[in-house]
Amino acid sequence: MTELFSKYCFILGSRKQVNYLVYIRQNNGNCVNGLADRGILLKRWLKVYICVIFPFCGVSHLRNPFANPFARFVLKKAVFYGIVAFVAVTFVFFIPRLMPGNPIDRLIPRQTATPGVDWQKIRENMLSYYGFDRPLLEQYISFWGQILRGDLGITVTILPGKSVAEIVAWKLPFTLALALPILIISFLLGNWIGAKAAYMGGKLSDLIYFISVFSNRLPSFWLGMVLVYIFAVRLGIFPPYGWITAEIIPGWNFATFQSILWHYCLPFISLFIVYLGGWATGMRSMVVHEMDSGYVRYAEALGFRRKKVQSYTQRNAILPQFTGLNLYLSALIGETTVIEAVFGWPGVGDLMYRAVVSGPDYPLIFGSFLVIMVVVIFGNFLIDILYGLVDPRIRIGGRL
Amino acid sequence: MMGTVTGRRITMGAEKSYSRRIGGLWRQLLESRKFVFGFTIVMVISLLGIVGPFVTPDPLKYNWSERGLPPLTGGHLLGTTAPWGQDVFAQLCTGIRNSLFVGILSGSLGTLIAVLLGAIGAYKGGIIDEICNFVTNIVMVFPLYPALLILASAVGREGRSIFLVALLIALTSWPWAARTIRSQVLSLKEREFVNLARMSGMRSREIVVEEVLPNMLAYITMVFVLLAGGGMLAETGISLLGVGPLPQYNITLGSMLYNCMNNSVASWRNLWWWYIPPGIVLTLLLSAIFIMHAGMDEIFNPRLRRA
Amino acid sequence: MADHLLEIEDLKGYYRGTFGVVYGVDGVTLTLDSGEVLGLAGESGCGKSTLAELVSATPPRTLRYEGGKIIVDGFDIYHISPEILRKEVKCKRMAYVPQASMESLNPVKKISRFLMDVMKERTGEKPKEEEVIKMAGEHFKKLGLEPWVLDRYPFELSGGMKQRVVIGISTLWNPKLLIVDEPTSALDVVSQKNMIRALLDLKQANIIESILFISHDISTLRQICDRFAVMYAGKIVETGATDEIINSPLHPYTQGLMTSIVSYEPKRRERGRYIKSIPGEHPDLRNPPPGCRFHPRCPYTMDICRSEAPPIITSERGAREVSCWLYSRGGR
Repeated sequence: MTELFSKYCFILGSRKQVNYLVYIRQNNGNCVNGLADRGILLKRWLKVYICVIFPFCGVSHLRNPFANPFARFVLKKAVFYGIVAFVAVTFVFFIPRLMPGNPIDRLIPRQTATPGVDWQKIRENMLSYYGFDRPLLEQYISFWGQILRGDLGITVTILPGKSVAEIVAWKLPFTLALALPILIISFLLGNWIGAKAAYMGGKLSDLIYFISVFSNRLPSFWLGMVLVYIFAVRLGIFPPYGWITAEIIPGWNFATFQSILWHYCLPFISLFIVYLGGWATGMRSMVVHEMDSGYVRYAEALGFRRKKVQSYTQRNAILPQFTGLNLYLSALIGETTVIEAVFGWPGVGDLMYRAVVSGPDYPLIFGSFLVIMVVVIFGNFLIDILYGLVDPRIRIGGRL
Repeated sequence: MMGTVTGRRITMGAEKSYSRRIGGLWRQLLESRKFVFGFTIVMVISLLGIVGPFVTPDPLKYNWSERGLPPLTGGHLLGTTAPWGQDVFAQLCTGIRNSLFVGILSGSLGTLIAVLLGAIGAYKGGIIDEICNFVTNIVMVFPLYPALLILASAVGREGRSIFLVALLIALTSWPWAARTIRSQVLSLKEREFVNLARMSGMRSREIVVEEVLPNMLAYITMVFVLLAGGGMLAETGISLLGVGPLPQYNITLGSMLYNCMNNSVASWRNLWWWYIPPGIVLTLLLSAIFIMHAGMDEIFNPRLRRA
Repeated sequence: MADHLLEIEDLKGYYRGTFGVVYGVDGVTLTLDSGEVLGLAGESGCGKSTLAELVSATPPRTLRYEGGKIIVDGFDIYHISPEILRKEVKCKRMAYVPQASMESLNPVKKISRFLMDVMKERTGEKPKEEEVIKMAGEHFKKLGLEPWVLDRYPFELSGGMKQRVVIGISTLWNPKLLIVDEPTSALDVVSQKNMIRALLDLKQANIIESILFISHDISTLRQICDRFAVMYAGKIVETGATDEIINSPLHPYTQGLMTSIVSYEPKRRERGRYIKSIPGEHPDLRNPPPGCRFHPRCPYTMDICRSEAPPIITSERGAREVSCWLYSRGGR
């Protein structure tokens, strides 16, 4: 286990893996051929997709998913996100084909400086991957086959010849480790602060509101730079760049985790402050609006205690925030990209950034974009289902 | 009941011409403290951006002898940059101007697309509405920065002018605006004066131009203001990543951050006066836009009046 | 004088906000006895709902209580501690059914869960679900609601059902005074009749003792009220027994109201062959007219009406009150 970990940790610097992987890629590339094999692959993927979706619909209605309104809702969302995935893949397919000229020819001559790499083999692989000489429809279908198989091409710049899918798979946990905690914690904490500020009223509440608005308008990447200046350069508490201190050999020991954690803090804080402000602002407005609504006033007329009235208000005010959660997830993944570039946090966004700067390395850019889209689509789908569970109007059906 | 007593209604009806209506809207807006406050700040910063480049030295001029100076030395208000000795204040003013330009351009384009897809779809109803709504929902799922990165990298180094970057930003940030405009048009569609116009035989196009759009003017302005602000933020973001408008020719707030970040000398020597002012100006601008928007919301949306 | 169940004395309530100050209720004096159904009539915007919100002590954020006394069964609402108000007055002695009571139910809770919350909040301990459902089911049956209503979410019920649920919940503790604000405005004619019948049944079964019935529809008021008061621009202009006011209205505004009703009765049809409307508009309460608030629209305006607000003139038997200068020297 330690060996595997060390292997992955050195992957960015090591050239020894390159030839070995190019060899594997070539063999894999010859294994599956023809449309029939790709059809089987497609069916397999559809089965996986459906088996993942259906449990959300409620086991008792597996036979007739159209009877249960919640199952109908889930299926509708699944179809929608399936279409979004389709559009994303088509988008990624057409971009390199719409550019003038051959992207491979533009790209490879710039990279000839790296030694020890067989450029001829790489060029052949990329040509067979993209298949610019084949008719468009066949290119499209083979592209889909490659995507479903998980083959996203070979990168040219960072580690020439390396499979994009592998690099992205290694980097993805870093992005998720940054994005998901921020999303969840800022949602919970921000909404709590917003609700409290709304109930308090008065000058303190207005102050919290203005602070939230201000912090939400801060550009998170710029805030990151400022925090680096204050905490890393001047005060020296947190490290300014990277994910681990160079001297430490990565392994399952305390020093590694402490170092990673220390590097994690600044990017986390710079994004967290911005999103916390966003949730607080929104929730405060929602709660203030709900406090005037009929059922809250009626609850007060019935003699409810203040805490219960507040609980009613919050429970209804948080429902629209869930739809905002969808938008915020997409925005967050996007901003994480930029933050990773600023801090050198090795996530998918940083990968995209480096690919654009040194290149542009098209397979890597498109591969990471597809992975980001998959994460965003899946996240949006989960959030929609969560919203459907929380709001009884969707769960039970009936008139919305 | 409250509405009839305290309502500050925007007068509707086809008797008022557009110019008088705009004048009336403007006068209403000036009554809101929030709007005036935000608008003043935006105007002050814009003034800095418009007049500044004429009174400050050339921001691209290299000055080797004066590189890396802190603020208020050697006649430079905000100091100079590190390897090239450019005046930071001059860069700031030019940067404000270019960023504002990108913001306004992307805001207008984005609002145009949003109005087309939101208003027309919602007004026509039926299958067109379904299609427009569907397209809006699909584009809404795409995250902003990665999509911008891909598009900008596909365009290549040679083609990235300010106009193109503004177009790309508009293409990726319109869905939210389209959705709000659509909901507003839908609520307006149910109002009596539209039904009256339809029953009295006006054509669809006339109805949209004479009845629906004037009430939407206020809303469209609010949407434009927010989109422009968002466009500026997006431009800064992708300039930071290096795929914004070409930094050699155009200085924007984002390109200042980019140059600073990519300069190892800058991070070693902590040239804080290089990257802190653009961020402060951007934050102030965005906050002012938000407060302006909140003020406009108060005026045009009587439900939100607070005690 | 016997002790009134509800006594309102010179009540003032203003809306304050970024729009300025709106004089919603400006000096209202009203009494309600036990066992009586008092109606409150007036056009939209005259302050009826404001009055109801102030009396039930649940004003919206922009409405502030500015002065006067409201005494419900001996409790002075605005001068006792909120805890006593919550425990003793609300729901036990006075209950409020708001306007548009369709919106009064929490949209994300089932009715039964809402009832359990109500029980828990009022009695302080968590009740057993079966007991609550049984008791509520019996109570709701009196209003004509089936027991399955309890197991539903509010959006699954129709408007009339929701209204009856709200009335049912408000009357669970047999309050002495029930304040209903425009219960029939959103309903069709048949449902209106059923609603009025339900209210009268509740009163007959001694679940409630008296009702303060607010409506702008005089024909509805006539069916249920013993006495009613007419309100205009935040002030009460006339009070009296229902039949007396309808047959012989004293205040010019009330006269205008009565002539603007289409009636099927032959006696009234002769008198009001043409439906006359009152010219002018309801005044903007940010800037109410000086003196008598009705004087811009009144056909009998005198000089004194423009400068001084008229006092309340009581008839000899104390049954009728008018606020008009026409009756100041020697009344009827």
